[in-house]
Amino acid sequence: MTAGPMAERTPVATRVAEVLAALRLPPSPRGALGEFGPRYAAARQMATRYAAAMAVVGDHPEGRARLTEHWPAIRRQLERIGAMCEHAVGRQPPYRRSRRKRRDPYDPKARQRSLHAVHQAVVRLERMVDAAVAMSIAVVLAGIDPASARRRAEVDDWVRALTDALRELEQGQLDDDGTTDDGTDDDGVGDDEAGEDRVGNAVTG
Amino acid sequence: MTAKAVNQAKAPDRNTPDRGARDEAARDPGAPDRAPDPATALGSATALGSETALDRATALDRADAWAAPVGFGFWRALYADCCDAILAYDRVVATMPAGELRERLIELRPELPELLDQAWTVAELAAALFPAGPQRDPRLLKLLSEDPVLDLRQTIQDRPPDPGLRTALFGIREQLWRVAEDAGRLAWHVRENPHATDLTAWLRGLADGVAAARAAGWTPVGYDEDERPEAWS
Repeated sequence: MTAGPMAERTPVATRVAEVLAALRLPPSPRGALGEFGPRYAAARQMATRYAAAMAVVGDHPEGRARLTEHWPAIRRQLERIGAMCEHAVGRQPPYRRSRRKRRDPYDPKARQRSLHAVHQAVVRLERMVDAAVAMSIAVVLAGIDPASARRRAEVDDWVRALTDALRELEQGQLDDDGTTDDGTDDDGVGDDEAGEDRVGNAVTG
Repeated sequence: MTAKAVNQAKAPDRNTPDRGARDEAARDPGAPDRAPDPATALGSATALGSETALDRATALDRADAWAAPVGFGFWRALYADCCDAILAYDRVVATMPAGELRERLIELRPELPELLDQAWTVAELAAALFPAGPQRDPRLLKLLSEDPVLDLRQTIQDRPPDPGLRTALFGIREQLWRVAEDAGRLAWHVRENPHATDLTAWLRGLADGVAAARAAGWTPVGYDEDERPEAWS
């Protein structure tokens, strides 16, 4: 008895891994991430969407150059979200935490701040990917109708939107590296009491 | 072999390729600065439902709604609507009595898959770029709604910006259905009045409709000002 086509088919998990490897996305955080797992998965899907936009834009000189140029920012942001998720579940050394936090790594307020910081990073990534996808579509439509000035103007508009989104993304990263205006540090786990109070006040009411 | 030994033997097969491939990519020193070739990478993803040019032509001719790799959801439904229009045209032609009119409608039929081909391409693009459909992924919105500090759902639009894919697909569907409805009206007209003398004009109108549909397939019917980046930002 010979094996049927189903036996020869590559498992979907293997195929997904091959695609992720081919896209050269940063390695996923190891182990269970708990509630941070779906957040990281959403961010990874956004990076895949960005890659799809790069594939769609094809050989268009400006569009391809822009998206290729911004790819490292997407990759860094995904890597960063992964590190934030790992840190949030307490698998990285809490060297930036205060002595009190080291004694209590599962502080609920720390969890809330981490969740908020991850969400903010995800939102920034989503806005960047949205702009990239819209620009790729505008490029495709402008290529179909090259005589349309409106289409060309639309490409320019989306290129500007993409640049703004990149600035926002990088600005967010800079903010997160230091203490942000909401009092969180790079992993969203604040080590200053003022940050705790502000976030805590927001949470409680 | 014990059950534990079987599990140990199976475990590397399930996990190793995933971890190994990604770790290898992560160790690549040039990886962060070198952009991948997404067409190749995503091409291997679409190879799950790999299709050749011949398969595509056959699927288009048969108006097979399940042949296009457009996911399961909004884009599939929209593409299936386009296929339904061609199948409706086929049913109209099948019900017509043999004669010159039927022959003319059969002559027009090979031009419709070309239009469906455009719908396929647009739907495929849309499914790749908007896998959750034209709306924002509800799973993402749910995650953001769980934010303990702010409702971050308000910081992104309910609908990701789309400068024209959805409108283009709606336009192609409308054109295809217009052709099918014109054919249906023509068939009804012939049934009602077999000796009608204005059939030539009707046929000409139908042929013009097909030609217009082919020409306008790529041109969005409307233009949504809300999709402008200024409105989005």
